[in-house]
Amino acid sequence: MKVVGTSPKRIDGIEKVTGAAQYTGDIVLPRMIFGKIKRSPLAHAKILSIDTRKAEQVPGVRAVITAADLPDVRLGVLTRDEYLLAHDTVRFVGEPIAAVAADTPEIAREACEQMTVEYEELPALFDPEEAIALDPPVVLHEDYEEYERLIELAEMDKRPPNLWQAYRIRHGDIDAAFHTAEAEGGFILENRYMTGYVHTTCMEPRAAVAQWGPDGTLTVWAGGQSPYIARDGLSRALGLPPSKVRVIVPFVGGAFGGKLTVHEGAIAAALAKKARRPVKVVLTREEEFTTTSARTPFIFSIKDAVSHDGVLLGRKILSIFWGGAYSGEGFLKPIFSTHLYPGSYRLPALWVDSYGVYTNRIAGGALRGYGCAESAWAVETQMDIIARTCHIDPVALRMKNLLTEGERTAITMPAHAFSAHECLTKCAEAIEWGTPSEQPGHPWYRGKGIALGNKYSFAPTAASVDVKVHEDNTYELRTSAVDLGQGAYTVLTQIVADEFGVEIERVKLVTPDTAITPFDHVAGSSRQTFHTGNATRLACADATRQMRQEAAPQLGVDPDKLDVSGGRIFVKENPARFIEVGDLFVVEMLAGKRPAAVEIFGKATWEVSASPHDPNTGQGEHPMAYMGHGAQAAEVEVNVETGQVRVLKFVSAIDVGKAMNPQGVEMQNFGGACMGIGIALHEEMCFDEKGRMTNSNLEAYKIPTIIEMPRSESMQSIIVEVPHQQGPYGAKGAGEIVVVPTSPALGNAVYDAIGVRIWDLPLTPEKIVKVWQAKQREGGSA
Amino acid sequence: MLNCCYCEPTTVAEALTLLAEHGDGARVVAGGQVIALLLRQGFIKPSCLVSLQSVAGLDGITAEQRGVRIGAMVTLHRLGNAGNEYPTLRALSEAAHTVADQHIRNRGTLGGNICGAHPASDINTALMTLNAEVTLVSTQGERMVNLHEFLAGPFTTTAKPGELLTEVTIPGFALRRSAAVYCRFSPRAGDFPVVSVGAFVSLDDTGQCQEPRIVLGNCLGAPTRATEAEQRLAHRNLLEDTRSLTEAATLAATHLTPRSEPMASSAYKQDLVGVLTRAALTEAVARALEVRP
Ligand SMILES: Cc1cc2nc3c(=O)[nH]c(=O)nc-3n(C[C@H](O)[C@H](O)[C@H](O)COP(=O)(O)OP(=O)(O)OC[C@H]3O[C@@H](n4cnc5c(N)ncnc54)[C@H](O)[C@@H]3O)c2cc1C
Repeated sequence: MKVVGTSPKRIDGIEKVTGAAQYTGDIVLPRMIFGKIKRSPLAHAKILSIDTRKAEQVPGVRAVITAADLPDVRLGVLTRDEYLLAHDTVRFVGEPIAAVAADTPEIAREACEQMTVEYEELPALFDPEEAIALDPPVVLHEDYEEYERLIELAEMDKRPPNLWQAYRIRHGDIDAAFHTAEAEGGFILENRYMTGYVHTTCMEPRAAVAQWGPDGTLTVWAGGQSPYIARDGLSRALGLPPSKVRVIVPFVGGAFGGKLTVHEGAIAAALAKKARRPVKVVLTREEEFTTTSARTPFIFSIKDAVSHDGVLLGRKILSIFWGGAYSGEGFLKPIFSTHLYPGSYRLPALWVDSYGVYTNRIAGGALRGYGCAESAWAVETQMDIIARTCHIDPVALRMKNLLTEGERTAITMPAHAFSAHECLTKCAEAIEWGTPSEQPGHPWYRGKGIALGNKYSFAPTAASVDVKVHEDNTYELRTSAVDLGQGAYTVLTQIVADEFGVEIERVKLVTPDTAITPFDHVAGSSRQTFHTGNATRLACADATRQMRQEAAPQLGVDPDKLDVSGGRIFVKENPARFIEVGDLFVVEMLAGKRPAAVEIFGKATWEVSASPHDPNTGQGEHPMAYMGHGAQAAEVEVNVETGQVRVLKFVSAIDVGKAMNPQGVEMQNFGGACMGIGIALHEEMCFDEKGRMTNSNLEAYKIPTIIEMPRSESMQSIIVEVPHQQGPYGAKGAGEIVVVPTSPALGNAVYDAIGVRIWDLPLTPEKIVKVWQAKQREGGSA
Repeated sequence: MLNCCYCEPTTVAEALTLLAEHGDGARVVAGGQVIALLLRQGFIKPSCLVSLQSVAGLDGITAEQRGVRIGAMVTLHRLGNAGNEYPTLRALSEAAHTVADQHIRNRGTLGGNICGAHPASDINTALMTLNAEVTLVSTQGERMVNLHEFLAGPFTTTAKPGELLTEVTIPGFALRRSAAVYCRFSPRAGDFPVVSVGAFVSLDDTGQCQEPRIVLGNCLGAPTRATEAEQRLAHRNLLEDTRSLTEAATLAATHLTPRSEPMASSAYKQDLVGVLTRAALTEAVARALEVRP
C-alpha cells in the first residue's frame, strides 16, 4: 500500500481551479434552447385554468408544456405523491405548473410571465403540530390512501390525514425506567427542541440539459448525486423504459443531499421533445432556495430517566419532521433520524415515535447528515443538561453512558468499531477541556462546549465498478460514484493505483454515464469510500485474476503462483521471472498472431443487505451498513448586548476507520465545521404568513463568510482511525459525521458562556439577547 | 426584457441633455453595483442608461469655506480614506469603510449610494449625522437641499426627472470641540447593518452640548433623527452629567418602532439602537474632548 493513506493532489483539482472543468451549466449543444419553469405564487390553491396562448406567441418561444403534455404519473421515491407539473392543485409557493423553452432564457422568462393561471386559493397549513392532528384544519393530500407507497408506516388506530411517515423504536420498559428514576433518587428531565429551516445552498444551482436521439433515446446531463436514481426518475416521469434513458454527470458544484432527484431534467426533456431541440434548464438562486430540497425542521420532545449519578435509565422521544407539500427527498428522514439515538449510549429503555407530516411548504430534504445532525441537537444538548443537573462533567457523563465494543444497542444491532471514547477524549484534550475560558469582561462572555455524534450509513445498498486494463499499463476505472467535491474520484483512483501497484497517474477515470459506467446507488449517506471503495478493490482483484490467468501459460506456472504489481505479472517466489502487462496483449492480429488476451476487464458488485426496518419496534440485527462516530468542541465568545457569537476555537475529532486520503478527511472536517457553524449560528430560511420565503437570496440568507470562522490556527482536525471490519482498508465515511455534533457543541458552549439555553436553532443574535434579558429580569447573573 | 440604449457622455452638460431628452425613462449609472441588480430583477425598465463613468469633474474632494465638497463619483474606497485628510469626514470614512466588501467599495460611488436610498445605507446615515447637503443639477438649473429632505423613503428620493446629483457638501463644525461617530452592527461581515447609529456632539467651552444629532439607520424607510434623544442632550453639560448619555440612548431606543426584517424583529432592533447609541455617544464625547479648544 503506497498511495492509500497518503494525500496526492486531487485528480480533479487542476481542472477545477483553472476553470477547465465542465459543469452542467457550461454545456452547449448545437441548436440548444433554454427552459424556464412557471411556478405557483400561492401556497395552496386549486388551478382553475392555465392559458398558455399569449406565452406561445412571444417571439422566440419554441415549446410550452403543462401537465397535459406528460404521462399521468406521480413521482416520489417511497411515496408517490408528487406530479412533475401540477395537475389541479398546487401545494407550495414555487410548485412547477408549466414550462417554456425559448431561444434565450430571457425570452423564456418573459413567456412564463405572459402565461395566465387562474387559481382558487385554499387555506394553507404551515404548522407541523397542527398538521399532525387527527382532525387538522387542512388536508393536503385527500387521495393519500390511493397513492402508491413502497414503505410501511407504523401501525396506528387512525392515521392523521397529513401524516406520511410513522416509525417507532421499542426497547426495554420505558415506564419502569421513569419509576426507577423517581423511586431511587434519580430524576426525570423533559425538554423540547427544534432545528432550523436551512438550505444546502450549493455554489452550483441545479441544472440539466436534455437531448433526444433519433432512436428515441433521451440523454440528460445533470450534476446530481446519483445517475441511476436520476435515470429511474426520468424513466418514470416520462414513461420511458430505463434503457432508453442515458444520464451523464458532469462536474458537480456541491450537492449535500440537495441533488438526489432531477425534476428539472425531466422538465427539460419534455420541453426538448416538444421543441425537437436540446433544452437547458438552470435554476436561479431564488428557485434554488424556494423550490429545491431544504433541511426543514424537526421538533423533538425528549424525556429522560436518569439515576442520581448520571446513568441513563431510559429515553423517550417524540419527533415530528416538518415535511413540506410532498415527501420529497426527505422521504426517509423520520426513520433515519432515529438511528442516532441508540448509536452512542447504553439505553436500557428506548421509546421513540417519529413522524413526518405534510405542510404547505417546500418539501423537506436531505442536507449532510440526513436527520442525525438534527437528532444530535436534541440529544447532545440534553446530555449537557443532564451533566449539569447531576454536577458531573459533561465529558465524564458521556463516558459513563457510552456503549462498549460489541455491546448490543437499543435496536439490537451490536456496536462495532466503536470509537466514541477515543473521539471524545481527543476532542476534549484539544479544546483544553476543564480549563475555564479567560473572561474578557462585560458584554463579552466566553465558554466551551462539547458534543458527540454518530452517523449511520444506510443499507441495503450496492455499488458496481468496472476496471479495464490497457496494454500500456494504464488502468481505467469506470464508476457511477459521483464526486460532489468530497474527493471520491481521487480516493477511488488511489485504491486502483495500490491494487495494481502503480503510480496514481497510471489510473484513468471514466466518470458517471449510465451508458458506460455500472450501477452505483448514490453519492450520499457517507457511502462512497465504503461501498464503492470495496467494489473497486473487488473489481481490481477480478482484473488481476484475469491477468494471472492469461500470464500463466507464458510463464509456465500456475496462476496462483503469480502476482501483479507495477505493470508486471511475476512469479511470487522469483520476481525476476515476469512479463509486462503489454505482453498479455499481442496486437498483430492481422499478422496471424493470436492475441494472448483480447480484453482484460475486471468487474465487481459489492452489496450490503440489511435486516428490514420494522416500523413498529425499530429492532434489527443489521439495519444499516455501518456507523461512524465523532466529537466536536468549540470555544465561543458571546456579546450579550448585541447577541453576536464569535467562534474562537473549533475542534473536530472524527473517526474514519482509515484515512484513505488524510488531507481529504481534514478538508471534510474543516468544511463540515464551517457548514455546521453556519447552520448553528447564522442560516435560516424565513417565510411570511402566506408561505413565501422572504430571504431567498444570498444577501438575506446568511451563509457565513470566512470572517465568521475561527482563525485557521484555531481550527483543529483530529483524525481517529478505528478500523471497520467490512470497510476497505478498514475505512468508514467522513462526509456527514463532521456536521452532526456541531450545533450542540456550539449551543453547549454558548450556555457555558452565558448560562442560558436556547432550544431552537439557529442561535441568532436576537434569541441570545432575548434569553439573556429574560435571565436578567429573573435576577440571575452570568 | 431589456430594450434600452446606453450612453457614456463626457461632460455634465451632455449628461443633463440626455437625461432631459429621456425624461422618466432615463437612469443614471454610476458604479453600477445597485442598478445592475435592479435591472436583473426587473424592478426598473429604463429606456436609456446614462453612465457617469467618463464624465469629467465629478470625482474631486475639496475643502472650502462652507465645508468639504465631495464629487458624486468619488468611490466608497476613496471615501474610506478621506477622513485622514479632512477631519470632519472621519465618521463618514468610518461608515464608508464598513460598506459591503472591498470589491463593492472599489466600484460603488458616493452618489450611487445616496441616490440608491437604501434604508440601511451606511453612507446616508453618516451623512445625515454630518448634516450634509446635496447639489442637484438639471438643464433647468441647480439647487442644494439638505440630505434629510432629499431622502424620501425606502429606495426613493425627491430628485426630479432630469436631475443629477453632482456633489455633497459637509459643513464645517461650528465649535471646535465637536465630533461625529458612526456605529453599526451586522452579525455577518459584508452585510448591510441590522441597525446603525450616527452621533454628533459639539461641546462649548463649559462642556455644554450644542445641537446634538443622533441618526438611526435601517429603522424606518430612511435614516431618522432621534429627536427626543437629541433634546435630552441639548444644553446638558456632558462633562458633568454623564447619565444623560444613557438616558438619551434609552430614549433613542424607544423613540420609534423599527421595521422588522427576516431574523431581526422590531424589538431586537430597538435593543440594538440603545446599545449602539450609547456606544456612539460615549465615543463622540471622548473624541470631542480630544480636540484642543
Ligand atoms: C452585496 C452588496 C452589499 C452592500 N452592502 C452595503 C452596505 O453594507 N452599506 C451600504 O451603505 N451600502 C451597501 N451596498 C450598496 C452599495 O454601497 C451601493 O452599491 C453603491 O454604493 C452604489 O453605488 P453605485 O455607484 O454602484 O450606484 P449605481 O448602482 O450605479 O446607482 C445606484 C442608483 O443611484 C442612481 N444614481 C447613481 N448616481 C447618481 C447620480 N450622481 N445622480 C443621480 N442618480 C444617481 C442610479 O440611477 C441608481 O438608481 C451594498 C451593495 C451590494 C450589491
